[in-house]
Amino acid sequence: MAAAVIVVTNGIVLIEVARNRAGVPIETIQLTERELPLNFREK
Amino acid sequence: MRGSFSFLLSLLGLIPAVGQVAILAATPLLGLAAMHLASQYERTLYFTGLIGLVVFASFVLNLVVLGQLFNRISSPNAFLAWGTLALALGYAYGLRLLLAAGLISWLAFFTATIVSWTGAWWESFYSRPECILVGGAIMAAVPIWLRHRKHEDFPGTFRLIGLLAVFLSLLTLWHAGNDSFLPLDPKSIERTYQLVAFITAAFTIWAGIRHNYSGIVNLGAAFFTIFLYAKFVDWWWDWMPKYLFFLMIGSVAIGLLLAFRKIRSAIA
Repeated sequence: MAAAVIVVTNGIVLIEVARNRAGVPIETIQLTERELPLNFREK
Repeated sequence: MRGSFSFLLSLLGLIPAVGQVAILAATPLLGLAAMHLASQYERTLYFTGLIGLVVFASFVLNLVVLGQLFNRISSPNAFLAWGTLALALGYAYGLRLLLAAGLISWLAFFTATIVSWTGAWWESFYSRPECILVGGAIMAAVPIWLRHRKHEDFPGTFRLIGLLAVFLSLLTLWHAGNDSFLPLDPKSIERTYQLVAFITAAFTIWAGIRHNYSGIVNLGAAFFTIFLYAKFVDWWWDWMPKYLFFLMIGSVAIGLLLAFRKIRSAIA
């Protein structure tokens, strides 16, 4: 039972991920160094 | 703790995605195998319980890190999965700590789901104490209709977690009438819940004595005292001289000690 919970839950998450990434993206965003500088540090 | 988590996460980032998923899913499964093995070599199930906690924690980590890896929106359904695993392990090996972890997870799932139905973001579920109160009341009532012949000590855990949830919700609503769903004046809601808190604590003590549940009597008595002191602060703190306030508190504490000693002798 416990093993089934782990396997089924991981399976559901991975199926959701695969569905989310399938097909052509609706929109794409290109980030440059202006948004993501090389020396970025979280404050 | 957070540092070591970030360190492990950065190490995980060096592995390809398939390997990361395999490690995350395999860790709790390996733990389960170890748990099963340990349970066959010991009578007290001490190490089995410890490994069970590691399995539960690694399953929590499994879903959290999977969510971060694939940028998933957080969902209360994770609590349903965590609770199911903990309850499955608790019932399979008779472990109360895992049962408690499962009940808390299911309570969080129940509350967060109801809060999300109202249109609020599920992570703010603690800001609606009435949902926790209802969930706790249901949990405390479960042993009435669900008999535990094999695990005779489990109903006590149901009652403890359920009543703790009820009392903590009432304590939150004590000064937070605005967080209620009731369409009434916040002050009236607070006063109503203060009355409900005293009645619930007194009923808990009475039910505990009647059915000979010493833990429930202690829980009821502890929260009755907390509610009483909260009321004393509301009434007296602002205007009463502090020496007189603490004299009153001390006198009441002695009175309560004597009353609880009588209750304890009634149980014995």
